[in-house]
Amino acid sequence: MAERGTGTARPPSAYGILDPLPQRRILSLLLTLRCTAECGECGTHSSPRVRTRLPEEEAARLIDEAAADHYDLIAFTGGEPMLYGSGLARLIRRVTGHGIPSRMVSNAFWARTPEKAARALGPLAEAGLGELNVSTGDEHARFVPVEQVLYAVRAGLDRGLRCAVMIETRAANRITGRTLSEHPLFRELLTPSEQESVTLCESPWMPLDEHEHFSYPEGTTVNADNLFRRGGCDSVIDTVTVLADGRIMACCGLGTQSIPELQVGQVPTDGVHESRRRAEADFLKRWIRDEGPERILAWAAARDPRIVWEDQYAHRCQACKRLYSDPLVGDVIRAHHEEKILDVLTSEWLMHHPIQPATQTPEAAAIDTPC
Amino acid sequence: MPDQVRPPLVLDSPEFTARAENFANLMSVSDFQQRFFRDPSGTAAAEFGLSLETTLLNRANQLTYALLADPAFNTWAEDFQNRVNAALPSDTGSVSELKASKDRFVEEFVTSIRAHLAPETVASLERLDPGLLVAEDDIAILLLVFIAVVVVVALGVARPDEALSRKTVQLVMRQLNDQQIAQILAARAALGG
Repeated sequence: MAERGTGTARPPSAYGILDPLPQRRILSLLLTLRCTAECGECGTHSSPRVRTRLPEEEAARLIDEAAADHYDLIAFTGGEPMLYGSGLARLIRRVTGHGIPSRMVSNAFWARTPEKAARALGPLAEAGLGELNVSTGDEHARFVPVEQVLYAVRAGLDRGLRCAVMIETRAANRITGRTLSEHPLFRELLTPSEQESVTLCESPWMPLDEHEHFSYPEGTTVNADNLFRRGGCDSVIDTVTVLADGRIMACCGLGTQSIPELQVGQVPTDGVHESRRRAEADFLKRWIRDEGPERILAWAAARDPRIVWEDQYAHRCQACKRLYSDPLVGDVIRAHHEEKILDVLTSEWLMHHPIQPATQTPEAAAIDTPC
Repeated sequence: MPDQVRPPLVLDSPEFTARAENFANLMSVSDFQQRFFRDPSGTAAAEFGLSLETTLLNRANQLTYALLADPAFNTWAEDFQNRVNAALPSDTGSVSELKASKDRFVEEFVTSIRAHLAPETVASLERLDPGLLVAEDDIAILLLVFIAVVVVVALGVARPDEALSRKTVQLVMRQLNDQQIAQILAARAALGG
């Protein structure tokens, strides 16, 4: 499948447009919770004072296990992975040795000048790092100026890395995808073709308390009118995340710190394979993967009008946290989830398996069957 | 009940795992696939032990299957992809050139679909007015208009063929409301489908 954010035009799709979709597996390693920044509402509770780190030998074991299970990508994140030390390059080299692409998610604190950015990134690129994903936004920029983000991107492009910038979004934010793309340095450092090749992705900044609500740009929060745009969760089950303290989680989302049900294992006892198996054995996680938490909230609200969900959530992880923490929602799910089992299994099958051509008019079959 | 004494919200009963495995095994048989979509409730009750009132397959899944199993739609999709690959630059050229080519292609694509539909139908689709869908051609064409207008044009993707996938089809199916589905099926029936 063609990758996003490459510097040149992409080749024709490797898959037919109606072919079964591959289930892309990602292992995300939060190597350290230490970070140079201390953003408000940090989804991983990282800060300069936290020293929790995943032992390098454990990270290496998990990488080997993911390779054996044919994972498609290993992501290094945190906290700030650049604070992990020389072990980061060794782990990237190990991933490269398995023939798996790698990604680093960083705040670019190390890119104080173009020269420092190039020096810091060099060893990682030589180890085979494939993608640089830089986080920024009004919160991050309190600690790392946006200019450093652009130096980091420049260094990444020079090393042939795919580059993306994730921008936290709230209403009236100073830093947005637009302001970043109009930044004089963005235009000075990058050619027009490079500017278009860098993925700028705005993502709602999420309060950790599901009862707290930030202001977002109009149309960002989910409601009955725009619910149709929400698909399944790409992260749950298919991304296995290992936190710096050794907990193995069933998604990469911001709820990993606050939704106990998402924990599916613990290092060093468990590994990637068994943790994924446990996640897949849970119908609710498969339902979230298929329909997304917003649709499940809407489904639950249709059965219990005390559940109010519209125009409250912009970030889907917050909707997911609500789903797991609200007793009313939990009660509806427990009482009525069986009516969704066949739909979810069918939907999974429709997305990922070969379908034989119908021998009778399929529309007729649809009409004939009571819905 | 206080939150701390509530059991974790994990639905991992052995029965679910067994049902999921059984479903996957049975659906690997092509005859079963067709039988299942012809009579999901009866098949589910007989094979999966799910009671009738809980086994109504939603419309989105049924229509998704109808489309994906439709030989004519598959032929169209293959032709569409070939045309995309021929019309858009592949491994050469800049992203700007790609975007310009994409714009030309989408314009041509939408124009060709418009040729199959009445102007008022096109206008209603472009306004995305859920109450004004008028079907006058094959169900596949109507759904493709949705895909083209809603996903390819409205969301401004880089390559139309990358925007089209089974997920897109499913997203469109889930977007259709009961009124639209009724209109599509009625129009199809009126055409003798």
